[in-house]
Amino acid sequence: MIRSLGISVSIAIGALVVAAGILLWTTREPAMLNATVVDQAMRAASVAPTNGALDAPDQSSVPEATVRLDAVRQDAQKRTLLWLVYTLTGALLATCGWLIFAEKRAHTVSGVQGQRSAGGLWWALFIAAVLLLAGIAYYALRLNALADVLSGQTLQIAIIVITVATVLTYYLGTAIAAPRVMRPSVPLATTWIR
Amino acid sequence: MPTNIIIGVGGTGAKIVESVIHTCAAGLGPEGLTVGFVDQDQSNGNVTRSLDLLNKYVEARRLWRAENSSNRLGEQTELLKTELRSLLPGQEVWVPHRDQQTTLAMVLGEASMPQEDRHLFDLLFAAGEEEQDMPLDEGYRGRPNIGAAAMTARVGEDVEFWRTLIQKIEQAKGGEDVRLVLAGSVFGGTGAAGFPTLARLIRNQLRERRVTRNVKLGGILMLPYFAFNAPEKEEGVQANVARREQLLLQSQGALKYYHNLFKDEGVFDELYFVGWNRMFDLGYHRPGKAEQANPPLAPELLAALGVVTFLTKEIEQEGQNRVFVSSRQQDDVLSWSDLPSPDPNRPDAPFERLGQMLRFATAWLYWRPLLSQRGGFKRIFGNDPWYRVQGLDKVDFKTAPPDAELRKLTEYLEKFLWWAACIEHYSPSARTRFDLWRTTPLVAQVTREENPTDPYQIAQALREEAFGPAFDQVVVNHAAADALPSASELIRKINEQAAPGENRGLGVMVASLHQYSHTGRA
Repeated sequence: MIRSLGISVSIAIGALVVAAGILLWTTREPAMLNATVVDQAMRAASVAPTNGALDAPDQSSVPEATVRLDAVRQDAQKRTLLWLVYTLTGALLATCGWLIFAEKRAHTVSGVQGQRSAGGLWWALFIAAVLLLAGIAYYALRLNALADVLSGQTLQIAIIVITVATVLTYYLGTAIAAPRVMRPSVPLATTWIR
Repeated sequence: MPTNIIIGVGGTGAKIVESVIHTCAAGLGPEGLTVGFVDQDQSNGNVTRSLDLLNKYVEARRLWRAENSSNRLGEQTELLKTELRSLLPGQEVWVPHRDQQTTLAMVLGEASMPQEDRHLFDLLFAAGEEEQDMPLDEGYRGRPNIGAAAMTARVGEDVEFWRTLIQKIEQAKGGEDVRLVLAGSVFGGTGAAGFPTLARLIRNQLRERRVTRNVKLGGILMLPYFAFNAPEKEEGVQANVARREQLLLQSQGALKYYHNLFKDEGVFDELYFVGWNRMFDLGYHRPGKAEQANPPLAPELLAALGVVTFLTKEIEQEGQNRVFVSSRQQDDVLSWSDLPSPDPNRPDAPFERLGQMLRFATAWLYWRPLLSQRGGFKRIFGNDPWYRVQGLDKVDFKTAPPDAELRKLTEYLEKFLWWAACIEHYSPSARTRFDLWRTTPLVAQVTREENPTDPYQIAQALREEAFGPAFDQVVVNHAAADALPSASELIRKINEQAAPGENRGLGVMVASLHQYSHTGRA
């Protein structure tokens, strides 16, 4: 049991590291921000009073804009990473839940159909993980207004990376860490794990 | 390889052979064993059943153990390890007097006897159908005096069965170790008549041929341990049968005779007596022929273990004249600790081997239908760990399906479970609590009332939900043993690794199933 859970946690950490790396890389430049946000930041920097001049752009407003943009970028980056962490935590919990069930089941299974008997719960937890993914995404993108901050391309990458990381955390975690007897319960797991 | 021979004399002798075959299948027997039968009742159901079992064993073993077989069990697997063969293929049963309506008077040539001999004949044998003119084609009907006289008259002639037997024994002249066991009963007809008669004749033959070394002659004698209902309405010849009340008196007389035979003539090197303090009540009577197919009973298992003990143990000196008597710790219980072990270094060998065999046979009821499936089988299970670990992906199910191997092994194992079920379920009739195994979940139908000679039908297959509990409970655990590995332990091992050894094809899976069905001590 401990071995199985350890493997699934390792896989989740691996997924987190890789996904976070991709997200950090993607969000390293202010270009990851929505054009409207960049525009707003630039405008805010230009209207800010510097040496009493009101109508002419000052050279000092450019670093100000950069600072503002970077602050917005860092905030968006942080929220994106949190989105990832929450989602992966949900996937890890689903994985651990299934593994605990599978480990217990393995001690009562006596035949080949029993080896598949955790398949129903696997799908149920998979759907739960996907729903959780969708829920957290809705919270992050809409309620937390991340969708208004990130550029379209960054948003696409983030959604893909977090979705793939979540699915892989659950799938690889259950497939690799499952007791050998229960592995047929994980779809297609026995085709690639020998 | 030493030459081991067992001759089942009479119906009870044949039943002992039946139990010997099963103990050999479980891995308790010697490397090789030659089997023969002697019975005047040529269609005796007990003999026919044992012969059928022998053929099934030989067939199954040939398919699973042949060197060139593509589905082979390696040497490390105990299943069907003993090479059983017939003493005289095609004529496994020696019937002293084959002709229909042969009588003792005809055998001894009463018509041409001198007057004095005829008087003696009349003195020793009752006139008419009771003895002198009793047809012998249904055996000696519980009258060993008739059998002894008739058999002695026949053995002196040139009989191929005996020629072959003596030839085999003569191999001892070349330094080969030869062990011959006669198995029979002190009660009844053919066994009681044939056992001492044949033993003495064999010993005399050996002395005549100066075969005095390397040959050990053993005997397994069953004391009265089961009883029929006596026939109520039959008269004449049909009423001329072994009766319950006569058995003990007959046996007492026979034992006195054996005492002299043993003490004065030194016929046997070792003699094993097996009995039961309360008789098994079969609840019916079959006088002879095919109907005399009595169910296997627990004492025959003890006798079989005596046989394999004699065949496998070290016997230092010739002519030790040792006598062994079966006993149990409690007179109303039969448990694993009551079974004698053929291996002095492993006192629990019967528990280990028979327990493993029972669990394997139970597992087979679940796994065999899976292994018999075709295309769909591979599509569904082809990627399962056990399928690949056990090398089933390398078995050619399409062009060379192992149908014959599966069928023969199944046929044998069905016989084994039937034997186990009978032994278990008839034990209460001797007021004996049976604490060796529990086969009820494996029995599909009980036909004891309608057909007492075939009282149980073994299930053709077990569903998964029934298999687990049946496997876990089929063997009653030895008092001193740890908990038996469960069915989930079996499938876990099947998924993890194949049994070691030179197993091939489907033999890998079968060997694994057998090995992982162990009782925890193998």
